[in-house]
Amino acid sequence: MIRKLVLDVLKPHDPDLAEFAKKLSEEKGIAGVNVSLYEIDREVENVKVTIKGKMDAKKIEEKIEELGGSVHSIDEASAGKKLVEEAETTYEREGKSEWAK
Amino acid sequence: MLEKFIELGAIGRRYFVLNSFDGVLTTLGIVMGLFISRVENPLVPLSTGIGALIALGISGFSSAYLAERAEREKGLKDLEGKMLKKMDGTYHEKKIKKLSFKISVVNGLSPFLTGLICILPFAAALLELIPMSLAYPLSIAISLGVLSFLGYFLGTVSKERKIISALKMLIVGIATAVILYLLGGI
Repeated sequence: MIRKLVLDVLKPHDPDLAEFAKKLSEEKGIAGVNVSLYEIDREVENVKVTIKGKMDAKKIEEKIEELGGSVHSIDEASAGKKLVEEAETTYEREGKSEWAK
Repeated sequence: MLEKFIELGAIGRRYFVLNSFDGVLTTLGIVMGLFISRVENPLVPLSTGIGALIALGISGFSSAYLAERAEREKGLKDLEGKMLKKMDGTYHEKKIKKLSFKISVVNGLSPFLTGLICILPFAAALLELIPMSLAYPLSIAISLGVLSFLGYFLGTVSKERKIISALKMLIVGIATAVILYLLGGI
């Protein structure tokens, strides 16, 4: 069972972000949805969709398609009994400290 | 462009006024014609009026449905181009069907219902509640009243002076009645 999904989605302006998030949250097993806009065109927009809960990734993709959107990529996915967030690697930590200097 | 998809409100209102106007003026034309011809049987204005209104209703419903569907399908095709995918079975396609239907119902029913109100006095005359000599002026007065109401309604939509808007519509109605009367005289 998928616990968290972060998706890159291309969608028309209609339905708007609030309506889009609300409709997605109505799917079975969804605990919460966040939709944030990161690129906007004249008729379409790119959004980052973050979903938490206990879900079937296929169903989520189908719902997004039904709302007129298309999933460009799955950027993050968590599965299992417990929700595991992304961990920082040594490389990333050192990269950050280098940058801080 | 996507605004075209949305809002039954604005389009529905426009169609309501446009077609109610048609319905009222059509019945006004029929009533004036029969008045000039001195028709005394209330069944005549009732049957010709209802016949014309049913035809107007059907024409309004079917023409709006076809025109709205065509226009919105075009919008959907444009969107498909932007999304690089088919939009069959999506929220958008369902919305187009639903909206086109709702708009057609407004388009079909508005001339029928408003026109029907205008010929109600003849129903009263048929039931012998009022004489025919009263039914004609009453029907014309109701038509002018409905036209003024449509003008008033447009005034509330545009947030302009409602009375002026109502008067404009009333003038159109009176002008129609006068032209028909004069033509009848010739």
